[in-house]
Amino acid sequence: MYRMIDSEPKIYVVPNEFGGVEVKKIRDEIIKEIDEIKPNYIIFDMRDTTFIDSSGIGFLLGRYTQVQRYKGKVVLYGVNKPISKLLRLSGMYSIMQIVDREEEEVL
Amino acid sequence: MNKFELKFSAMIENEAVLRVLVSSFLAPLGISDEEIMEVKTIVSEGVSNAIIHGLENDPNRMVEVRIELDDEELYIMIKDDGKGIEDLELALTPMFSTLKIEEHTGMGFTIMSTFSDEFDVKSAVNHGTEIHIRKYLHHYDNDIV
Ligand SMILES: Nc1ncnc2c1ncn2[C@@H]1O[C@H](COP(=O)(O)OP(=O)(O)OP(=O)(O)O)[C@@H](O)[C@H]1O
Ligand SMILES: [Mg+2]
Repeated sequence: MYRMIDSEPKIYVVPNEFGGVEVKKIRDEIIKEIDEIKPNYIIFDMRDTTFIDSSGIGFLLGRYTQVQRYKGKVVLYGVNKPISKLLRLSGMYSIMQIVDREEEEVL
Repeated sequence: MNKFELKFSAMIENEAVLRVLVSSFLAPLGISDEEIMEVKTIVSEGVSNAIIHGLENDPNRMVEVRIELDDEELYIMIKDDGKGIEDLELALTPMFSTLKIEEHTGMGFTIMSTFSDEFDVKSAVNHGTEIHIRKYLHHYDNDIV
């Protein structure tokens, strides 16, 4: 039997600061939920996020890898300029769909 | 001149405390939010590495941080007496991590050096690691102080 893949996008709001402690707080629960519902699209809403470090970036990459296994997609939404610089440096733009905060205002 | 010297347990919770401290330390200087964010990220990467890699999350062991501000010149020192780095050149390579399994992407050092004007790491196996950073705060606004 095949399990139907859920087509509803799943939205997660990323906290204002997203470093080691904040990742630790939400990681296990989100990993479990994604494994259960296998959403086609995951949107990380980063409109309120003003700080991220390599722990946060590692978490986002980890979820990308997780949904890749069943051909799901990850979108980072509403990324501010300083963070977009950091994500670019980490090579995130070439693998994930990223909607910057400026673009978002036009939409 | 303004100086801070701190010692704290190798617990990742303390990295978030440092972030608040750095924000308050820099807030009155009239520098841009972006530059404050860069300094917070530098400190966060260095302190996280000391806690996770150097001292392996052992709350009985201590991380040492020194922050000095002299006019527009910011100096940061982060030190642990932990396990040290075997191959420093490899460790500094973007995307290299000894903890890939735990979702470490190996970008910490790259991020730190990108956001710094001077960046130096000294490390000895079984003795520990020390990083020294200098950053010139360009958007200093003297009117606000
Ligand atoms: N204070 C330290 N003590 C011992 N080893 C360290 C220390 N700092 C860094 N390292 C070593 O250098 C490697 C690279 O560090 P870097 O911060 O670039 O990546 P990471 O911490 O592994 O991953 P990320 O920072 O992306 O979460 C680490 O994997 C670790 O092996
Ligand atoms: Mg690191």
